[in-house]
Amino acid sequence: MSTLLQSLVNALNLGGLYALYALGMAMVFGILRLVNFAHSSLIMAGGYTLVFTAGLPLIVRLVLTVAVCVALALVLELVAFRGVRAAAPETMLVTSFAVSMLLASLAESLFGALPRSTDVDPVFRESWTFGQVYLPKINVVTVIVVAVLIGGLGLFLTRTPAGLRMRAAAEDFSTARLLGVAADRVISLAFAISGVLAAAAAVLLLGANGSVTPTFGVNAVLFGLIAAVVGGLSSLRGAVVGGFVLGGASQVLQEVLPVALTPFRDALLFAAVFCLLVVRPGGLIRSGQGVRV
Amino acid sequence: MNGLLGRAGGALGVPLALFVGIVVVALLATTGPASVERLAVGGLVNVVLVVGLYVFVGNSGVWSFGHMSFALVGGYVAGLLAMPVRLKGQLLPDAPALVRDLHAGPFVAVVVGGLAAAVVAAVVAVPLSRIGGLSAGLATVSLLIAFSVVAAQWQSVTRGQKGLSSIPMGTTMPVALGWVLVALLVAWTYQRSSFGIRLRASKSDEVAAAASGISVPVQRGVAFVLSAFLTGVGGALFALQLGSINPGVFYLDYTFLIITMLVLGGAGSLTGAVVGSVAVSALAEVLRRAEGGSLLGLPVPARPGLADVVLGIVLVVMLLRRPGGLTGGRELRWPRRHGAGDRPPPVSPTASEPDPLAGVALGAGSDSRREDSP
Repeated sequence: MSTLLQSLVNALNLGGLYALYALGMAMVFGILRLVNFAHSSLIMAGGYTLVFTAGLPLIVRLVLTVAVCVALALVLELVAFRGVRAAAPETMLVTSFAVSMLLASLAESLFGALPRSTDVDPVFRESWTFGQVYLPKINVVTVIVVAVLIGGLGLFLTRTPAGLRMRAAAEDFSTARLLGVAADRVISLAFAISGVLAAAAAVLLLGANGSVTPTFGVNAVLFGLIAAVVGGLSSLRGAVVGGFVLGGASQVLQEVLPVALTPFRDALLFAAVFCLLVVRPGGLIRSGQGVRV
Repeated sequence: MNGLLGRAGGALGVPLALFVGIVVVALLATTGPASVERLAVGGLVNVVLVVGLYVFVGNSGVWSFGHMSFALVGGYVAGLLAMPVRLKGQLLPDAPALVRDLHAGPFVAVVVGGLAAAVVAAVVAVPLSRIGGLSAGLATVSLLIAFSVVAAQWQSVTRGQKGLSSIPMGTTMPVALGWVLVALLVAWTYQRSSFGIRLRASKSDEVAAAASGISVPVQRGVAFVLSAFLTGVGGALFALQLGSINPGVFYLDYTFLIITMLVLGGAGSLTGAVVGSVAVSALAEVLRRAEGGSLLGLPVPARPGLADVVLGIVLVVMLLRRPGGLTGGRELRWPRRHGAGDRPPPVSPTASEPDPLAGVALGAGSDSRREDSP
């Protein structure tokens, strides 16, 4: 019973993180059809912001992190992605790949390749123990933050005029434009929201790892991308579902696999994702059905 | 006899001309110090890898981000084959007997490495070739992660993160040049064969190609396996050049480098693949030398990673300004001074791009894209 509970907690935590990464990418993909590898750069920038503001109060650091991530997201949209908007999705993907590698090298030449460590908050290192169930506080924080962000995003998209415009743009961009939705503004907004999500990811990741490198966030984005793909890239609901499915599957494999095979868990997981993509190229949740943004 | 040679020269003119260009650049490099020659050999290995990727991406129009998994397979298979049996007994005591006892010379090792990659690709291609576009590209990403994890965890055979070392070095300049020639000839012959032309038709318009009786999955699968063979050979050459490999080598960074080369040159033509790989190799070398020194009289600060920053900026600017790459997807063409009768008319699929019909197909394609993207 207690091991089951423990696994459930782990799965929820992992799934929440994957969902967070996936949401950030699905946000942009829904409108632009851009697979934004550069999302990892946003997370990295957030991480370095936390490192360099180590002396300030936590709330200031968090606000600054969000500000930096959002600003960088907007700049990238303006400088790099506006020019390739009309290009094929593959070209945009290569562009975002290039941008993320460019920013990683830039970070390396500015801050060095060695990890920079910082302490986000002592809470992140503590944990509760209930009998045999071991519950790190950061897991709880992660789940709460992800739930709040998903809920907030849902409310924003369904209850506000700006959210309505975003959903319209995601559904059919040209028709939305004909009806008076300002394309640039909607796209900027999508990038800004992905910036906020990246900032949250940076805080949670750094809280768990404690250090930042120039490739900080790359693995996160890789997993987030795969999660988003599993769920169906162009739907936000799909991104969340995909994140939790991937996290849950990962945890199940961890428990079920014989010890000799556990190192190969991720290989099996990604082989399964490959098969899923072949069977359902559109992901678990077909686009056009759910809320597409 | 002369006429036959002449016709062969005409049909294979592009790859041979490209090869001559590569030989000239490589020979220039050998006049420098030994370190430059080593870099040049590395550059030639990259040409093989880029041409390998091009065979699939350039002809099918479907991007693969997972080709490094085939380089990984080729590299490990060739490395394990080329290592002396005694050394394997010490380094890999737990490996299956087959892995420990088989030994082959460098050439056989490279060929077997390529074939192993092709076999893996054939298995993968059966499902993969049914999907196209972005889904295929993302599926190959998950493939790459899966292969990388296996290489990093299969301790008894790959030695995990430590990787293989003390692989006998068999990739010399002549060997690398020889394989570049093979890669160019294979890529060109395929591209001009009926298989290549059918695949290129599906790239222009998948529905129309299918309606004309072309089995798009079969054509994609053929290109995928061929391309994986060349990529596996490239990975094997890489392993035998460096003498040591680990799973991290064949991952995102190398993937990015190879894709950069292909995009920069122009993914639509063999000429583009070669021009891109040579240009990026040369640029990277110039930048590395300029680091901490000066470039065109301007002082350059010594910063690790700065060369990559410049490379990244060049790529982004290139994508924004010239999405077709340096060559714009065109093959090498020389001014036709002799009458048209001397040489068979240019039937290369890329040469027919100015053709009005192709223009219509292209126009339709970009229109339908614009529908869902601004």
